[in-house]
Amino acid sequence: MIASQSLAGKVALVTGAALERGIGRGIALVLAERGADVAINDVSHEAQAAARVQEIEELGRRSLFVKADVSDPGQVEAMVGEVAERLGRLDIFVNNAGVQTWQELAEVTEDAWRWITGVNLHGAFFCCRAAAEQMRRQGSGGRIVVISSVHAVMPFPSMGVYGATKQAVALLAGVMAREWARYGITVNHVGPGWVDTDINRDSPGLRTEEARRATLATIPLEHRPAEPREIGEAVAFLASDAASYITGAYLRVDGGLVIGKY
Amino acid sequence: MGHRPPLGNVLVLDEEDGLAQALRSRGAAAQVTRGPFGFDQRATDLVQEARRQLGGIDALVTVFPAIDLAFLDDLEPRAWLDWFRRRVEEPFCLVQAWLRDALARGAAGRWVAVTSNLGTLPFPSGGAVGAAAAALHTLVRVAAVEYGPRGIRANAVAVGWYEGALPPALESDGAALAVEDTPARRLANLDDVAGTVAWLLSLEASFVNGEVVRLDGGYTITRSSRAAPSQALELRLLEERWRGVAR
Repeated sequence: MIASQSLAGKVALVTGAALERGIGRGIALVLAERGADVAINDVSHEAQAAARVQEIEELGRRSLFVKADVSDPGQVEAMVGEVAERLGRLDIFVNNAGVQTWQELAEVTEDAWRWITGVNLHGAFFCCRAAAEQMRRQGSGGRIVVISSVHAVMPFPSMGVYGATKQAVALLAGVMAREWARYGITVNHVGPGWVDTDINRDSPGLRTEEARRATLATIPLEHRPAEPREIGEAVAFLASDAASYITGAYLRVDGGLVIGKY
Repeated sequence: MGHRPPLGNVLVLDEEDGLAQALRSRGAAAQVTRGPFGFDQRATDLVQEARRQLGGIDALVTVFPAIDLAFLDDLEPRAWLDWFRRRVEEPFCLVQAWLRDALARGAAGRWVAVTSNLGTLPFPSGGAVGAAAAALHTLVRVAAVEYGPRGIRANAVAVGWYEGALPPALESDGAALAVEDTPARRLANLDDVAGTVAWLLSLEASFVNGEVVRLDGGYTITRSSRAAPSQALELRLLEERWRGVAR
C-alpha cells in the first residue's frame, strides 16, 4: 500500500452497511483493509450486521454496529456520540445509506416520498452535520464522503424522487465543502452507476435477462456492473492523505455509464 | 370551454400575487393558489375546482418562497425539514394532483417551476435553499422525460438575487455586492421572471422541455469563465460567519 493511502489509526463510520450485498459493505471492508477502525450503521438487519463486524475484526481492526434510523436527527446524534465514545473519535464519515423505489411522478405515494427523501436527503444532512460537529470538536479536521449516484446528473424515468434527492445531496456536498473547509474537513461525493447489489434487485432495467443485457450494453467499461469494493476504493482514496487537497469534488465510479449524458 | 387566452389558463402556486398579475398582462388567465399542500385530498380538490373555474388548466407555475440563507451549522434539523416541505414537498403535491388530473383526461400541459440559481451553485449559507432547488430541478427533468410523450412539458427558471427580496443576511451591503458580481450589473426583477415564464408557457417554447433556465444576469456562469468574479458577496458572508470564531 502507498503510505499516503494508509488509514491506520483513523476511525470511520459507514451508514447503511449491514447487508451482505451492499455498497456499504464494500466501503467498510476497503477502509478496514487500509487500517481504519470501522463502525457500521444500519436501521435493521442486525444478524447481517454482526457478520460485518466480525469481518472487520478479522482484519485486525476494531468495529461496532450502531443501529439507528438516519432520518431521525436524535438517533443520528446518538449514533455519532456512541462511535466517538466507544472508538475514541471520528475521522472519516461515509454517508452511504440510501433507498429507492420505482414509480412515475404521478404514482409516487406519500410513504415512498417520506422514505426516499428521509433517508437519502434529510438523513444525509443530519448525519453529515452531526459528524462535522464531532470532527470540529476534535479539532483535527476530517473526511466526509457522500455516496450520491449517477442520478445526481442523469434524470431517469421512474426514479424521479430518488434522483431529486441525489441531485440535492450533490449540491449540498458542495456547500458543506465550502462551509466546513474552515474546520479542515473535506467533503466529496462519489457517484456509483449500476452496482451489483440488493438495492437494484427490483429495477425495471434489470428485471428480465433481455433488459439486463440492454442495460449492460450501455456501460462502456467491460459491459459489467461495479463491484461494491470498487466504490470502496474511491471512498478510501478520498478519505486518505493522498486526497488532502480534494474537496467539493464529484467522482463518478460508473464504468463510463454517464459519459456524454446530460 | 369558451375563449382561451394566448398563454392559456394558468394555475400559479405563489405566496405573492405579482407574478400572476404580470402573467395576466402577458396574455394568461392566471389564478393564484397558496399552500399548505400535502399528500391528502386538498391538492386534488383544488386542481379540480380550478379546472372548473378556469375551464381547463393549461399550465401550472410553482414559485419558490423568498430565499432564506443559513449556514449548515446553524440550521436545526426541524428548520431544514420545514424549508424542504415548503419548497419541494408542497409544490410536488400540487404538481402530482395536476398531473393525475391531466393524464386522466388526456390533456396536454406545461409545468414551470420558478426556483433559485442556488440550486446550481454551492453557495455558502445556501445549502438548504440550494438542495431544495436542486431537488425540484430533477423533478422537472424527470417529469419532462416521463410525460413528454403525453404532451406535457416541464421546465424550471432558476432565478438569481431578486430585487426587493434579498434575504436578511444580505440587507446591509448585499445588494451592492451581488450587483458587483453579476455581469448584467443589476438584480433580477418581476419583469425578468414573468417574461421568461411567459415564454416557456408559450407556443414559441413548445420544443423546450426539461431545461433549467438560469435567470441571474450571469451570476452563476462567471464561475466557469476565465473572467473570475470577485465572489465579494460569498467571501463577505464567510468572513462574517467566522468573525470571532477560533480556527
